Amino acid sequence: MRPETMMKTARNGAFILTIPVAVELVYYTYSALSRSIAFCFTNPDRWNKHWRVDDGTIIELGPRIGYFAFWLFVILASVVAFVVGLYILDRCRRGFVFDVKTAQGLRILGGVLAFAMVIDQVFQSMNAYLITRFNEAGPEPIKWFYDPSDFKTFSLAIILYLFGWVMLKGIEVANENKGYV
Amino acid sequence: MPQNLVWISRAFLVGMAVFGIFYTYTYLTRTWTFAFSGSENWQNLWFIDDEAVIPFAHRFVWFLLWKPAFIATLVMIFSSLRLVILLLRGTYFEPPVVRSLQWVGGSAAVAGFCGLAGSVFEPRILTTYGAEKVAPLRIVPDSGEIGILLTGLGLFLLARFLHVTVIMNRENKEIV
Repeated sequence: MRPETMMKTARNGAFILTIPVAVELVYYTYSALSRSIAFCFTNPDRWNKHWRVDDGTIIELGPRIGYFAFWLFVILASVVAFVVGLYILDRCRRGFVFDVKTAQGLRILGGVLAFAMVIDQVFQSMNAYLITRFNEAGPEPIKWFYDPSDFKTFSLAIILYLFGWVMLKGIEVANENKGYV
Repeated sequence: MPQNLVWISRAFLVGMAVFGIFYTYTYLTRTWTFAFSGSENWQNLWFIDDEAVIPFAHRFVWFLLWKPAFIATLVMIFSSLRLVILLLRGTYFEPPVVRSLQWVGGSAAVAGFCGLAGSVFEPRILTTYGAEKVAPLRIVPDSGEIGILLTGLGLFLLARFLHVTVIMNRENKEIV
């Protein structure tokens, strides 16, 4: 296959991939926010009658806002990663692949994704503690919550970050060569 | 490679190696125990009758269900390690880097897809014997697995772009 044809195929691939990423962005934002809002505000019994929580416990508004803000970090970081991902796919679709903005986008995507996975691990480990803070016997201890998906995504995020750097390096070398010519 | 990236890469190598061992150990122990060594584990599920007998072949099917995702994850880990080692050695725009990146992206996409597919069939397999009602097949949109699938596809696509660039560079050199 000729390189031009391969490039065209890859650009079409970027366009096709944009669709599921956009759908997942909408679905993830909706499902994650609606779950958190229902748990914290609109359906308070989900927390009050949670199986970890003592019967008859009423969770006040303050801790609910705190818990919601806590999880909002993870949701927002993931949403930013999706948006940056869409931006990169759009640039690839338009043919701006080995470009400074695309390379920087890859580094941002890798960084944000890695950050989102780290805080997801931290917050999931603290989840039981936060939910049971008002139990008579005291809260459940903070315990490491092992989620292999977080580790897998984290490793892909680091690869994206490094690949972004490799691209920047390539662009730098290409520019130097042009200057030399 | 700048010094800070060298440190990130080295930390990544150590972290991924440890994760690979830990993941393999916990995964195999958990699935083996659930499927074979402790028959009470399966029967202890709240929706399974205590007296239910789950045939060995059926347990084996459940055991195999998650294996494609597991194997794809191991491939992803090994390919990631290989890729980062190549980068640390100063190999950037060469075919081995492209191949490694393709393997990382491809195996991650397969792992994500198999993870999603496994969660479609698992409820039915678990409820075939001893449950009041056999659970229907249904898609569970796990954001974690979907994220891995999409990121894997994205990396695979980037590897394709890199592949084209490597070919074009080679052609340009030949012309010169």
